[in-house]
Amino acid sequence: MITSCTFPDRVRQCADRIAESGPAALAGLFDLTAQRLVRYSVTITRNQHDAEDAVQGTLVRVADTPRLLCHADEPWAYLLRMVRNESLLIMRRRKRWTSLLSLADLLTRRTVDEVEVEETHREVWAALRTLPTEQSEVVVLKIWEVMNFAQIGGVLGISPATAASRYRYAIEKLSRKLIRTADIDSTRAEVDHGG
Amino acid sequence: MEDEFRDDPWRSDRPLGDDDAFDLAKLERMIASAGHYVRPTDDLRPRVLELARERYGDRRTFRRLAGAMGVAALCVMTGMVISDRFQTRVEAAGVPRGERLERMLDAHPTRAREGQVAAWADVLTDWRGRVAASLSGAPIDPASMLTDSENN
Repeated sequence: MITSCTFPDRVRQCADRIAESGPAALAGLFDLTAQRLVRYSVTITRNQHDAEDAVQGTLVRVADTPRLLCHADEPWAYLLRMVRNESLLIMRRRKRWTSLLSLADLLTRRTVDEVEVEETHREVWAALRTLPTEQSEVVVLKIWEVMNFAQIGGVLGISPATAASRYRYAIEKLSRKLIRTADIDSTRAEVDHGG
Repeated sequence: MEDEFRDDPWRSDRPLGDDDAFDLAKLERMIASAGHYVRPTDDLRPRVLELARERYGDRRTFRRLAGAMGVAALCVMTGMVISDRFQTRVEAAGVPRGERLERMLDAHPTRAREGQVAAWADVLTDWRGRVAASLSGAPIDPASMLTDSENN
């Protein structure tokens, strides 16, 4: 029998396992969520080291008190909120000066035969870093976490209308920065298929 | 209001800009493809698991210590109660002397009739009788002992 299990359901199952078995079961939650939590936190902290500290603090808190997630209506959104709060705390404490254009802090995936794709990805990340945090968060939650504006509003503590408005402004800015990259990618794709 | 945004008017092919028609879907796809570009460092996983294990161990140790301290406090309180009762019996069994003896002599009816020496003999005889009775298990009447602690 195949049962569909959404991502939030899997997060809740991991939390239930931690509640039953203790921190030994935290590995499951880490493997399921860490990459997504780190990429979300990086958009807030603008620094991967701080983002990982925020994710570490959040997951350790969940291991201490797994019922926080077990009893949440939307465990994945709750976990994102925890990471967000932790990231903002770290930002306030450290007051780090970060170059908006530098991506030197990021640890990235790189494949040998996809250098051009990597270049596109770097441009996307660099463009996201030029946005105000409140706008880049909305973009990340909308596109990478595939949330609707009501869910985004729940994570950020804003109304769906405000979330939509921030998304609009963010997309307008990103389109100006990335339109040329998108055109180059299209041209490249056409050349590759034609040749 | 919520349903309006749940339908997501920003999806699909509605162009954004004014002069150059820009495909929103294309932009979103480009951004989406960069979602897995950043990955956690290799040491994050062991760091998180190790810290969670340490904190779990610390909490267990703290709970055990708190439990041990609770048991120790209970033992101390029980000991104090027992010691207090034992002290009463010890004081009562002690040879009367000093002010205690004077009070016993003053209170004894023999003193007024036959003098201090006779009263001493009677007091000591009474005391020895009570001690013998208490050692055999009979309860001690505190009112008859006139200990220093009761007069203070």
